[in-house]
Amino acid sequence: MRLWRFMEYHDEHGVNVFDQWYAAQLDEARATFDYVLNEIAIMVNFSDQQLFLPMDRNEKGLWEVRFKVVFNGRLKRQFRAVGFWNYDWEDRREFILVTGCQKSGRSTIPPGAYGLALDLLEKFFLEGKDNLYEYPF
Amino acid sequence: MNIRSNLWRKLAKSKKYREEFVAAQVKRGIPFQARALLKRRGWSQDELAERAKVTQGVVSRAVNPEYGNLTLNTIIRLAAGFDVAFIGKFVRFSELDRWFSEQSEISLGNVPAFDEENAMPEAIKPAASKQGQELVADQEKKPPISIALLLAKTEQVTAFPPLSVKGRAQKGKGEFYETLRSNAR
Repeated sequence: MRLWRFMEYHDEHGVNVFDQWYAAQLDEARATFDYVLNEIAIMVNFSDQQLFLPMDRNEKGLWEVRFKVVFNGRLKRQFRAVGFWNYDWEDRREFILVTGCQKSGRSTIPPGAYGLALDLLEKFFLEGKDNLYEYPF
Repeated sequence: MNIRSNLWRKLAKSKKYREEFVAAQVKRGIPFQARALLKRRGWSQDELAERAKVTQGVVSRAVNPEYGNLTLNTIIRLAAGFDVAFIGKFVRFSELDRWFSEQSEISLGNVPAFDEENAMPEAIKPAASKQGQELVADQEKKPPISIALLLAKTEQVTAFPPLSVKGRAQKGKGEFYETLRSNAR
């Protein structure tokens, strides 16, 4: 049973920002992400784990899902799915996914993924443009 | 199955997705359950290593979901260390789908060792007797535990209570955003 809800953010034009990233990924990354997200959703708490972590410094306020994807049985790539908690929701157990990226050193593919996530965080809390739909998995 | 789950729709779209999802389940599922068992029993990796007659390094790799090269021998040693059974079998995708949506960290960690199970009254050993089978059937008929009750239980052990209900009520969305981001500037 899932203890945490994961939502997708749709902007004011109805664009599902997270799905734009997800749809662009290969099946290896999509399947691993869906499995990892369920692993997080059934966790009782987030202590003593490296899958789902809060960010600090310039990205304070964001959390990221960290997962590795193996391509062709050997090539490993680091991925991140980024979002923030919906503090408006009664039980504080709703996490909003806004984008994802592949990590390569300090840079991300696509570039500026964390900046976009911060923009959406600001929009969500300051402008109240919050169209949320449950992530399908 | 008339109502397809979201996972089922994804599984149906691509064979590659199915293959990769199964790979993720096999590679990550066992380490996840091993961690849940360790947590539930309050054991350290060293303690499990001693019971399983392997090194702590082997246990460390076995509970790491990113490792991905767990051998059958290690799984057998872990089962012996926990004194539980292990069933690995090929199943249809609908079974995977059902298992995926129903699993929980609590149930995965809540597997009694043989001695503990052996000391249980006959009636609560699943399939050990007709009476036991009836009890299991009764349990399945009962409605699932309410989410409110489960949330109330997990509230006490959750490491994520960043803002109290009172605190949230006092802050508006904008004010909360300022608090959240203030240290980042």
